[in-house]
Amino acid sequence: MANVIKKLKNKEDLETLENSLCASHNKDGLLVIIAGGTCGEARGSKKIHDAIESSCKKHSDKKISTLYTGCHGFCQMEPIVIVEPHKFWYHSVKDSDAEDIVNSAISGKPVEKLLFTDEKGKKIQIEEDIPFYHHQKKLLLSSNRKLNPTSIEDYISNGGYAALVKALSMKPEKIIDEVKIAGLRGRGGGGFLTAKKWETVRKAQPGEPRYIICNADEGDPGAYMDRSLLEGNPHNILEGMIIGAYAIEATHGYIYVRNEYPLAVKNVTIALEKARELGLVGKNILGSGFDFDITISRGGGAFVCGESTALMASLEGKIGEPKAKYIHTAEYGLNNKPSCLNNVETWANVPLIINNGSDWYGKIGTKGSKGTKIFSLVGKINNTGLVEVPMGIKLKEIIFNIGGGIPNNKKFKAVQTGGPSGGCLPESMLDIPVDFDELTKIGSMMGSGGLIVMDEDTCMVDVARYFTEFLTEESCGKCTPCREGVAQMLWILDRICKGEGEEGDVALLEEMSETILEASLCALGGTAPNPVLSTIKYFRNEYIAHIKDKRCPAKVCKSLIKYTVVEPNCVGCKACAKACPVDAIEQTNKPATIKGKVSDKMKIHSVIQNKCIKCGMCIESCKFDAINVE
Amino acid sequence: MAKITITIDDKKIEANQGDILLDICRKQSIDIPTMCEHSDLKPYGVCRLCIVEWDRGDWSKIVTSCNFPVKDGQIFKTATDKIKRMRKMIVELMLARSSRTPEIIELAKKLGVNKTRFPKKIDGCILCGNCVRACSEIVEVNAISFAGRGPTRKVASPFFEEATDCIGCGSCAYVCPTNYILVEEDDKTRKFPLWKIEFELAHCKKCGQTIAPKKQLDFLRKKANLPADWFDVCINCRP
Repeated sequence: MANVIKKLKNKEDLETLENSLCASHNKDGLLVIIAGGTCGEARGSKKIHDAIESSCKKHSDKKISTLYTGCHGFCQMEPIVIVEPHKFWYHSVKDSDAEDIVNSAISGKPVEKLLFTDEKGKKIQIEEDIPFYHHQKKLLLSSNRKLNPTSIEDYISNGGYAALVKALSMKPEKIIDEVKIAGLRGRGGGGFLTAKKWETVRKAQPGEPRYIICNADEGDPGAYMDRSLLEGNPHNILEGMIIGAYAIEATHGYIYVRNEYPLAVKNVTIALEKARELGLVGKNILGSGFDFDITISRGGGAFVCGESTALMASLEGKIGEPKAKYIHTAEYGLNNKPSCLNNVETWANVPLIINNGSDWYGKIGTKGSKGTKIFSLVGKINNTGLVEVPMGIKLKEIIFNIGGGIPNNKKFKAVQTGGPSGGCLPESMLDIPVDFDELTKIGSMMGSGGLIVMDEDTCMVDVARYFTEFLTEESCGKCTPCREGVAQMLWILDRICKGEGEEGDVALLEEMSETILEASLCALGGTAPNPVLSTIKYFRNEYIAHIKDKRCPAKVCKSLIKYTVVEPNCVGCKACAKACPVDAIEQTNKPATIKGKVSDKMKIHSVIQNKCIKCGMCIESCKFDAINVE
Repeated sequence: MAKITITIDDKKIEANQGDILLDICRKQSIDIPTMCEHSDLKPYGVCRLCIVEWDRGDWSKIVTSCNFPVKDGQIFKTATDKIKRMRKMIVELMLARSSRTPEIIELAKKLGVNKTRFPKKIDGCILCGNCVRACSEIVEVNAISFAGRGPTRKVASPFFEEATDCIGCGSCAYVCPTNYILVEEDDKTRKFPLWKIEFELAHCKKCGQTIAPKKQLDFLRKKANLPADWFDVCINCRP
């Protein structure tokens, strides 16, 4: 469709463009939407898109359009395809389904085998009726399914940059007021009042130049909300940043994005180029006299560079290390100038607030935590994906109503919130509402939004060990409590998991935690003990079992478990011995009993304990439940 | 500079706005342990031994005094049980890393720590950064820096090869609090095994005394715009 888009000189130009795009857009036409976020692409969405496009060409008389979007959130079900206007929602699609899908668009009859099936076996045709989506409030993520992230035209025809137009007609102080009344708090983990930060940067003296920064270094294991926002709707973040820059009177912005997000890097780079072409970024934006441009910078692979001062050091070309925060970066930040750093999701909320007003936004969420939050719901959960919910929803509702509960009928054990900085919460805490202050009160934190669900087969000591190992490797190494302390906590946890725990280990972990928590230079060390302390608090019995009884109740820690043959069940088929990669299963002299009769040929097998590496291949291969983990 | 009043250990003290807390404490003869602090270098705040409690009313924050700029009305406590506990834990961790370093053993003893419950290593470098900072802030050649992250962090020459920007001045060794940086010197050569570099020494043309590495003297000559023969004789033999 594109004719050459000319630079927009003022808001009227933007309105004209939006109108012409909407006019040429066939709202009631047949449309096949293919989700192409990183999750989808990992499962073949590109091939599916190409196959559907070819199929559409075969039916060119029906004028079917395709739309390749970002991630829709239900990552467990990728590849996802939606057919409009019928709203058929298909999942786990293969490229061989292309012809059927296109035919369903034409005929209006859905492809039954691709529809979502609920737990009662009923087929659900449309997205809104699927429980996973039904309970969410997708203020931000819903846009992902409406546009191609590499198309600025799609963004504009969906009302994009209208908030910018509105903001440019407001006084900067009024914009900050709106964000203040709306109650927006930082979505990166700190939960700091966004408007307060903007005000401090705006008022900082000496004041020039001022910078705004988008922190897209999302490093928490299991968290990928920012990835989905940035790769699926990059213009949303750009618009938020331009509005913020105008309110703070900043002249330049940076997007610091982790290099491990290639699709996000690609899409935000394209978006920035297009925004520049149209004059939405650059000099005299929409004729307002406001100049602002953005540089995209990629991280080099360090979790610690998600910390604001380390990020700024990295942007300056220095070693990515944090520094003392007694001098606030809002006044002396990047290049020692006033800098406003906010998370991707925080920036994404800004156009929403400006478009709809602070009153509207303030009605969503709780008293202390307004708006929605995107969580990555991962781990032992039926519906893995990204969920966007209003603040105040209970953890229980997210895990069971949206997440669909624990797979394989296993029992819920804990949920880790806030990544390596957060804590593990047991079942007794599931009624806690998702709220910055409520979560902090009980020893965890909202963090960036990772929710890792764990079941009865998860060893909580191993979880603490996992996060401590992660932090030991990611510590910048500058200060003593973190570099030496976290590494020594790992030494203790490693010993405990290996069956070498000693009396006094838990007390020592608790003692060290005080110093590491309060004397570390930055929040990496400052929150490192949280996974350890929260698991000791709520799952102390597991620590005691590991240390006193040399036993792992969840049967995870390899040094503390044994694989043994259940002799009455063994039929001597040798399947386990064949599957074993280290020849740790041998035949004994004992005859096997098959269907009540003692066999004269088949012999019971047994595990050679000192060879066994506890890989579990024997269990997978045995069809007679004859191998047990104890 | 605005004159302000702060409270340290229940005593009201006058200071200037923005003064560094550690300096004020020292003037008041309050003993605060440090390892990464050096009067000629900008504060780095990494050893964390100089921590004090900043009383915020219903809660207190632990801050490093070496780089804390004070404001009017702030209240600090330098020797609470909590601070003593934390300093002990910090030095116990340092003792595990540098189990044979006399300066650390002595500091630990002074703080009441005689042994460490953690596995012992023999690493004389406490990663205070004094050497890197001296080379950067004072000598301004940036010949050495940090390599690696976390427990593998080390002070190093670029790629652990010859520190080609080094001028052999030895400032790094001078500011090192644990005497970790070895300098081997005889009549002809000065070697820095850690930075994989050695220098030819210049001698006084008159008395034969060693002056400094030739490269260092060349550097100083260029920097201060001195005549070519300026360092031909030592300071004693200069007319």
